[in-house]
Amino acid sequence: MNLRSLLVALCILLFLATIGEAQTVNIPAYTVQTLDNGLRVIIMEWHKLPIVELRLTTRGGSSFDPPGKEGLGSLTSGLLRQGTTNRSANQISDAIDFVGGSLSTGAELDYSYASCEVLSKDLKTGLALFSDVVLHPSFPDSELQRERSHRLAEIEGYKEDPRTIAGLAFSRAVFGTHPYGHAAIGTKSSLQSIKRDDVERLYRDACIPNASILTVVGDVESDEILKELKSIFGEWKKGTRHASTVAPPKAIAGVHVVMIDKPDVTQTQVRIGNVGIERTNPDYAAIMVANSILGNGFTSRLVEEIRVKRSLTYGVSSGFRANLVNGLYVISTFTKNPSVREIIDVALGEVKKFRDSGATAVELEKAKNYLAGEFARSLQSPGVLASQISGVEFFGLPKDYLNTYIEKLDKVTLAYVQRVAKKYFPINDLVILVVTPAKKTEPLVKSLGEVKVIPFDQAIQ
Amino acid sequence: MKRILVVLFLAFLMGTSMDAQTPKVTERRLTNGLKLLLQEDHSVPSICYTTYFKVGSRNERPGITGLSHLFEHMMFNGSAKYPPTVFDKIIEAGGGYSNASTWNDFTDYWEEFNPGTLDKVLNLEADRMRALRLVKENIEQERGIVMEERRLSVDNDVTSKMMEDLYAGAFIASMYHSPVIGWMKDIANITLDDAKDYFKTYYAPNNAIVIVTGDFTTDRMIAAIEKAYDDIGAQAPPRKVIDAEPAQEGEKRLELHKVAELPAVAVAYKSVAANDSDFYPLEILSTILSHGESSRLYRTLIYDEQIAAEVSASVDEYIDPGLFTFYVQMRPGKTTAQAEGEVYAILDDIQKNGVSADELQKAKNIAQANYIRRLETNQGRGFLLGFYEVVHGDYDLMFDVLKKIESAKRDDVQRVARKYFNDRSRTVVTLVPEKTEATESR
Repeated sequence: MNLRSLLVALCILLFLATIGEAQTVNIPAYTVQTLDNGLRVIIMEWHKLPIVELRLTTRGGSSFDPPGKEGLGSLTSGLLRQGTTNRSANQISDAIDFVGGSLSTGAELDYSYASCEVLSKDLKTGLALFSDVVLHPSFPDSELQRERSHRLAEIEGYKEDPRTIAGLAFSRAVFGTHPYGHAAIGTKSSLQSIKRDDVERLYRDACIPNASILTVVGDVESDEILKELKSIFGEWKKGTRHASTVAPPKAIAGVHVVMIDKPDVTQTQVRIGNVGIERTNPDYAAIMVANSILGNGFTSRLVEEIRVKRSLTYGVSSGFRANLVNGLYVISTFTKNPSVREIIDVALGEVKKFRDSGATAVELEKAKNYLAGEFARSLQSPGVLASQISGVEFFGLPKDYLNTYIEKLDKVTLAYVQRVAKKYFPINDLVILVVTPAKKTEPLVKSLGEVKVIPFDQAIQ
Repeated sequence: MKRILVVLFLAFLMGTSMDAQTPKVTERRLTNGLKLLLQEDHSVPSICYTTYFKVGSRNERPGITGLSHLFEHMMFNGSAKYPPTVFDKIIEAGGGYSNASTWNDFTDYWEEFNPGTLDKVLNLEADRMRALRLVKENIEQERGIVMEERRLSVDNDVTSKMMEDLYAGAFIASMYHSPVIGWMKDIANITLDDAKDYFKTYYAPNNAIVIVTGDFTTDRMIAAIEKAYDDIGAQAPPRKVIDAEPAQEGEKRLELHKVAELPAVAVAYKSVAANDSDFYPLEILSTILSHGESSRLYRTLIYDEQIAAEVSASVDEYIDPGLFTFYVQMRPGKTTAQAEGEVYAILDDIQKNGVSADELQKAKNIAQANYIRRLETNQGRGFLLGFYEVVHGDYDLMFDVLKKIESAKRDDVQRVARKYFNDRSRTVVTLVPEKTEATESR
């Protein structure tokens, strides 16, 4: 069981009506204010549990990694908690573990983050550690070496897991050399090329208040915590916002079959997709509804046709990972090696049918209710709330975005579903990637399109 | 008396935010033996409906391993009144979701939904307990799906394969010897008659517990459940599981040769049952050994010595005695012998010198924080109530956990380290990575 998923904010009121009626969600009120140094501070009081979540979101994630130094953003974030001018790495982990809290840092495609969760009685400790790692990291050289060595081993470990191989190789196949194409962790050779200077420079340039959002959700008093945050983060020096922007990636044209050859596997991992959508896409809610009908949930068409009717797999789903300038659209599944062609054909057949004929009224209604319920339940923990409201601010979504999301779902019509099905669920322009014993399965898939075979240990470098 | 303790305990947990909504647990048993645990809580207009069946891989036998899990899949395939696939459709159309999981000691099913869907859920749940649709076509369908699940989660997952070998090696008579998902050939050969027998015995109301948490009125809920389930007959109680595991009298060492990049080692010591008084000191020990970057294992093997890529340790919380397990994945060029040396040195040190007062306090703080996190959703509470009822023998024991952890002394932790980390009751699985045949890119 994932314990984090069991967190709940009992104060969120979910006015869930009976079947067929619209559900709404009432997000607790929160404030957004900008300090003199440009730091945006979001505070949401939430008192049902004695828990507080702190989160810093800073523009510039792995997509800002300089070519040849892939992994720099992730490594820099990781090193934040490995030593400050006030505390050693060991002192930091001793202190956060002692109170049963969590302190984590990392890099996503578009942003880096630091987050900390503690019981509210330990807020002082949490805030001291959180602000120290964000504001005063010292990047000791010994820690850089240590972290690098750990990450190099991690990359080796990736090669053992067909799912990890599929995920990383699919991003690479779709995005190519675009900044979204490389793994956040980087490659063995790019990690080797990163110097302490690179880390310091990235921190100095990117981790600035005027490119950051500080979010607090939990058992706090707004005025008190704001005063405290001002006194701690007010002195943080304003910087020059990173000039580089990431251009939107080009979609793949035509059908490209990428076979990642792993001769020992008895099951083939399958990923089918292309470039998808940006987070602010105006059709976002309709795309989510359409996607739910095709491949999200236990009753989607893909599950029905591939799992229930044909027993070809244990799991199949479709989805969009929407980021600042775009993201992935991907159908993910797996099957025993001899069934690889059948599973691809059935999946693509369903996409084609969906594009051609759209959905039924029953499917539309079910999808709306399912998504509304899923959305409401997802907002029950302070961690998720913090990440959602930070996201609204980071991506520049309208302030009432979360409160009106269910309404937006509700407005989606059958015609709208069909329109987005045609526009965003491609059928002729695709990467079809398989992690598979290529010798055995190539004859099955080669008629799908142009085939490229890559040994798994070259796919993960 | 029980009620009052529950209320006070939750009051303590919730601190200042306590209000009139203090959840208390109401217990009932229907005439057919079905046990109900109800915890009314109106904070969120949502209900979690959980059903525990006291059956898991522990109740299986050679030849039908994996049946409990295959059965879990069958439960969504229709019953007398509802054709296949309708179950999930009704739940999802109501804005809810359903899922289930099979463990060694139990199988649990749950749905979260808005209160307006309650009647439908009751009908669906009661109908599948009354008359599950067990036909050849369904079993064949789920067999294929479960085989893919096994290929995914064990056969093509090196760490899971090691853990499977570890339990199979450590236990010779206990049914914890065999994996919950079952051996592939058993999955392939389970028959419809096996499934029918299983249903009759283990899915009877007298072998089940229904736990409802969330937004409802207790009296009305009891009446509604009685009405929905009352005509389902009790069955003869299932055969008692005998834990026939003999004492282990020497270390067992196994090798797993498999395509892999990094060497790894899994180590197990025979441990105790969940309701043994030594369980909580062992749990504290596992926190001190493996929780976070300040833990003994992380600090030594990953931070100081830099020989491991990953470390973990945990103690099983099972009805019968389980294992205290360790897993270490090495960095390139490092050997599992080094890892074993370091792990045993850490255990040796704790046996000789005990743990520090700070370490003990840290483990207690972590337990408290985790406990608060786990209690707060309807689903989390429903799961825990069932877990304590089935695994510990009484749901009420879940309210004593922190007290038990809090009362542990450094001496207790040292004593259990001495008692259970005994190399004669140790089992070790070493992963020997094999290279795959070379391939060329094209």
